[in-house]
Amino acid sequence: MSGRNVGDVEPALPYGGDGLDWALLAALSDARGVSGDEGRVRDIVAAAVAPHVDELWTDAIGNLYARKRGDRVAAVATTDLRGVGRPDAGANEPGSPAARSSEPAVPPLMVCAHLDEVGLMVVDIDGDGMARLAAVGGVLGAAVVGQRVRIGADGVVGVVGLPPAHATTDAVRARLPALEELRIDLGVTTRDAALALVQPGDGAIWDTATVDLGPTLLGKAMDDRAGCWALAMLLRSRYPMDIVGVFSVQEEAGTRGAGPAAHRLAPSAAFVLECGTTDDTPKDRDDTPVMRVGDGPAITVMDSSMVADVRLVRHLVATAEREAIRHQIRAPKGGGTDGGKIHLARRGVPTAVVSAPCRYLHGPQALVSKHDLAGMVALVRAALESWSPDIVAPIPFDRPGSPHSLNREVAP
Amino acid sequence: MTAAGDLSVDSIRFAALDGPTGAEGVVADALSAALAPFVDRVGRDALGNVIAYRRARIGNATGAGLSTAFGPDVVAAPRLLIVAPLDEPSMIVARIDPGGFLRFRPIGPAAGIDVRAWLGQPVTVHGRRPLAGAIGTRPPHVLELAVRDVTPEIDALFVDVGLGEADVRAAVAIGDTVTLRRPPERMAGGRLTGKAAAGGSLLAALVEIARRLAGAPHPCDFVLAGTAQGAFGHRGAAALGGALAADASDAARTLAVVLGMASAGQRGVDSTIALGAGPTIVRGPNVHPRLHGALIATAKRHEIPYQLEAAPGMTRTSASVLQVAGAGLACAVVQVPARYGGTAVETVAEVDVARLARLVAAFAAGLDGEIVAALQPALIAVGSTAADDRAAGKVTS
Repeated sequence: MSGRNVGDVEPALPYGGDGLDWALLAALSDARGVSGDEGRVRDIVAAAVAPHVDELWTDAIGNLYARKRGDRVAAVATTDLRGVGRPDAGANEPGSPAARSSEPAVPPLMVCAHLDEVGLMVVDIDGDGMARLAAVGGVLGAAVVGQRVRIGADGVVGVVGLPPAHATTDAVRARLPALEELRIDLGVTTRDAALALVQPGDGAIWDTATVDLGPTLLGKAMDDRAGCWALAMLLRSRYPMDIVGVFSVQEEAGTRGAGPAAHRLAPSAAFVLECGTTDDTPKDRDDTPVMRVGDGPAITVMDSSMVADVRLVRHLVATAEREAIRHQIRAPKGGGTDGGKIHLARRGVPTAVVSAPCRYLHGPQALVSKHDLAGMVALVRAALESWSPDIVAPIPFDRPGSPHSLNREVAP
Repeated sequence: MTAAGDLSVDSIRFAALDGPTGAEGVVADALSAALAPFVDRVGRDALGNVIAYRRARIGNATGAGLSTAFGPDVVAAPRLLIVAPLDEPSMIVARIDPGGFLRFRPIGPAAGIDVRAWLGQPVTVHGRRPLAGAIGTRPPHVLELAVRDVTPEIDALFVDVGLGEADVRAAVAIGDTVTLRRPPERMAGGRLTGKAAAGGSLLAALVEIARRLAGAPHPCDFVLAGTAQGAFGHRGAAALGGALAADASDAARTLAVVLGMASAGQRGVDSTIALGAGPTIVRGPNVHPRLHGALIATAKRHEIPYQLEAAPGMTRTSASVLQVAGAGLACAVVQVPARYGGTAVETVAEVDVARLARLVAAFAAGLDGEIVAALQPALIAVGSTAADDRAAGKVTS
């Protein structure tokens, strides 16, 4: 294998990364929050960002919003944004400037990460006390069999067993079980005893405590607590313009939270902070690694949910080059993010995605690199600090060759 | 009842330790320390077995001079060996790949392993220092649909310790062992789950047996042993049995009770053996019928719930080697029922462990010269008298 490896990084983190709060990331990854049950994660995020933001609110479906007022909002407000901003943008939002003052509603930048994680849900209890389960998001039986899980608000311990090897046949062992073939053993042997412990609808998730491996972290829910963590780190800084950090719900259940959030905020542009799969481990096939752990934050050009706004991609790449931040372009491949909904909100929102590369995504032991995460925070922070509304100014179709033209490199 | 199920030592204490096959030192140290208060001496042999001795005692006297009480063929006090394995399912680093990925093999027979039990499991690599990691494979999201439900070959698996290749090579050598990193946890229903839930419980039971035996006089010598390399052909037990049964007369005064793990009924295993219904008392060719009968009688006398387990071939315990060690030993097998044996979610009912300890301790305490004498090589009369005896059903052994 070529390419940089996880540990081949400087012992001290670059980009001022030594002040990053890894304990917060571990706490976020360890918190249980499958799609629709994000409350525990939201509470941790809210407590972490509250000291650093100007307003913090939630909406009807559980998204958490954290507004950071820009230190040059007035200057931004005088910029002609009428072609981009919507007069009614966020007007009904409880914490919006428009709701409290006569300030013009300046469309903020939206930076989004999702609170939820893939996992399981208890759907029924059999007569023998074994719990039937279903996937919440993209979880395969292979990621569940032989695993210990925690269920519901109380974290009831359950195990998804498989027979001892000597009691099975080659044919049985050769096939990975589907989720519907599996059960969670709760330790009890009757339906009533099981129902006293868990209820249908309870979330169940791997019983994994995050381990710090030095240059890397191993935990269950790096997708997307790594993004939530990076956003929390970003909200410690102040930027020229209004930023609303959105901690969205139900990304794994079909990117359901981010769309309404983008609708409410009507942002001038959006950055999605994700945690995406790599294919950078040993393999026989000559497939793309998609991205590599250790090669820095990954900038998406295209995935199955969107084509990233080319102006934002350029801004991110230019920022990374200017700041000497190691980065990579995510190979265009399947997989979608909240960006798929955000970029279609209202009349369309210029949207880009920055991902932390992750091995063993959607499994019990996901691996991310501190170097990549430090780079992700540094890259997005620098991109926000150097933000100009001109980056996403309307493209004047009556002035070919203008600075805003997508073809400006080749334009006369 | 305590959370530990009436054991003087919590099973978690042993189930939390790492005892890879062939490198059981940490578990051996813990077992030695736990047994020491209850025995005359405890030591280690060449293969790493923990062997604790407790001489026979009548009243306050030690067993010295008792040998003549047991008839002319028995030159010393009867001796009871009680064994449980020290090790757990484990792996060995076979290759360090570019990128620092560790290729591994199971320790013990590679045939019949279940790779499914390893996918995505947290592990500890016992390198120059213990390294946490996980067993990785290619993520299913990038696989073609047709192969998503095909169990990968073991060659497609690797351990990822999250370090760069140079750091990995500095910390890990080929031949280092790997164990599952799944410490024990209590569940509802009095269950204990974890990567060595059954093995750790059996060691706790062994200590509990020693504690119970130390509380009363007994006419037998006891040898309590934690045996090494259970997953590798019971090599430790073979050496121990060889030592104890090297001499025919020593073998003749020695019985063995082997503690093991039974597969209880579970999804994919059609068995009536259940967790929480008591230890299993095994019948089959590895087990001497009289010892089996004596254990059943003990369970009934002490009203200890038990289950019968048939073992038509070799048991998966060290009885398979102890029985034929040296001059041969009469063996019995008592097992704790377990679900998901050998996996990271191995599960036992703690009440079964406590009952197992009570049963074996009661059997050991009640053991006297009579049963040992009954197991002795018997001269069978020849000629017409013998035929008459057989016809009359008088020859039973």
